[in-house]
Amino acid sequence: MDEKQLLKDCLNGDVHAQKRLYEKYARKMFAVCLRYAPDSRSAEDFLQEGFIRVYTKLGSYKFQGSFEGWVRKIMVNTSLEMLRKKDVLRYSVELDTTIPLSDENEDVPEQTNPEHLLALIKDMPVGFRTVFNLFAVEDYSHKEISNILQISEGTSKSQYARARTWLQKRLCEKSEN
Amino acid sequence: MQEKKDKIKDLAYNGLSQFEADPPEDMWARIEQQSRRRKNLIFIYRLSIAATVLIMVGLGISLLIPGNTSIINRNQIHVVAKRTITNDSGDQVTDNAAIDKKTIRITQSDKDQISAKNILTDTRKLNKTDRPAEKDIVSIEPEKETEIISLVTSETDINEETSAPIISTEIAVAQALSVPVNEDSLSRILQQQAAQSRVDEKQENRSWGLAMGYGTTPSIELTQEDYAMNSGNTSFSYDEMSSGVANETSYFDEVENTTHNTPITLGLILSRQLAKKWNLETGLVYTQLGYQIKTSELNQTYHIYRNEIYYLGIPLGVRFGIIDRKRFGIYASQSLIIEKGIAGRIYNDTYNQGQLTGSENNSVSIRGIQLSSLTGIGADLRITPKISFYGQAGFQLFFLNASQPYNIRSARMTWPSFQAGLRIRLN
Repeated sequence: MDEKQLLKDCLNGDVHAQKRLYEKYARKMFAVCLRYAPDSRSAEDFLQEGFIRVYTKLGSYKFQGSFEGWVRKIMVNTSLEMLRKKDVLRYSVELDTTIPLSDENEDVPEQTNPEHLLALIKDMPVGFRTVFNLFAVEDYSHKEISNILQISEGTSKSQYARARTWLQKRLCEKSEN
Repeated sequence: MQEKKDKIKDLAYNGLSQFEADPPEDMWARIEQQSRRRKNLIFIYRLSIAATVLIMVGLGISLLIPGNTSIINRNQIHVVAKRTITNDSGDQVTDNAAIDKKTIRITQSDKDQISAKNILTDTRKLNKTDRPAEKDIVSIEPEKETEIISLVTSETDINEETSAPIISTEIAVAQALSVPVNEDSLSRILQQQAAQSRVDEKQENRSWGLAMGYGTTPSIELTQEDYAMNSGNTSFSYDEMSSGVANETSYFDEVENTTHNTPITLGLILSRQLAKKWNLETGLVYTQLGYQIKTSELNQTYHIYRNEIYYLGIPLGVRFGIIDRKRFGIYASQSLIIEKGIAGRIYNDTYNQGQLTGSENNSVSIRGIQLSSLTGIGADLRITPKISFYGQAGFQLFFLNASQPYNIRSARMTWPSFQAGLRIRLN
């Protein structure tokens, strides 16, 4: 079915159309939520709330740009908002000052299993994880991240640098093993 | 560095940007159920808003409708003393030469003591006439006959204006009368007067008042977990300030202390008397909040983050007079206050070796509204009949804190509240 028609049916309150929309994007969006959530249960909550907001805000979609990108943005924003509400953005891991930042000579594998990568990202301290997801996977600039998270651009860069170092160390350890 | 950075980023982007995962099977059912629940809530919410608006409009209209001003001034009575005489034909006629009219004011204590016997006794004592004692009719009636059924005979003229001072009723009546009185007639009339006074009391003026006050709660310095920004007990909305502090301090691990400034509230309250002891109040309140966070010193460097936020609010409440004396009164009050943040500013000062080495500040906007309930007991000290000082102590309970940026109210929902000010009766 034409996506435009599907969206119009959803706007008219057609529950079957809404279900079709859900089935089309649920798997990709759940993967997005998994990257931000501290656990699977939270990811399910993010996905549920995210789709509610998609249906609620559907009237504001102007059919400009990718609809998938629009939905993904809502999922990311919903995840961040729910993280803040749950106070999960509290960062309790002490900064490990013994790990130097980004050794240029460290080998980084060209590819890695996505599930393994996801598992590593989920293990990341939440502050690192948020900035890393936004910069590395969603491809936001540090300026955009600073607006989203309401932090300075410098803070976004330093958080990403630390996240990158953290991930690089674990990827290299796995490669050696 | 740039190449390494790109490798990690490329790895993450290529591996995860199109990654998919299966959600739970019941996820759609959950979404459908929540969607249905939300629609019901939206309907109830809109209905509540409509009902609230209707109630507010109704209240507003009832306040604007002028009260019954064409009422009897029950503090004045018009004393008419007449004497009837028997003429040569044996008929009872009014002795026009012996009609005395006087309008006097009476105080509440006077009214309490009014009795036929008292007036009769004094009248007889002060009776200076040397006319022979005869049966006479005394009419005592309120100034404005139009408000009540006439208590006197048609011969009585009661349209006199008065500016008599407040004096003892008994003596005034006695002085107004130059003739002895008929005790039975006087008793009947006084009883009718007392009954009418009770009716009049219900129709007394609905007065307006204006109060200007200053309120505050104690300031606090917080080092305990329960009151600091990183506590799980806090409830606030992340704004630019708290997000910045969170990221710069490893999510509050490096915060040394948090100090909340003394909140300052200025209010202008309009009150309308609904009944003898009840007043409805509304107006405007302006509140200033602020806090300061000091980070731990590292390499002789520390930061101080400060913010100031300003609220404008509308209170709506009632005040009940528990004790109401001439010079002193005690009251209880309960009000609901809706506040909106109208302005905010955040500051970030950097200190190195105790010296300020950097400073930046930005204005911020505040979303959402703050709701609170204020309960208090206060006392009025009347300086003049229309002006009084008041002092009030109580507590204020804050709601919807999660919609507001971090402030002293995020630290704890309930705070003691102290107010003092000037109250002016407008009419």
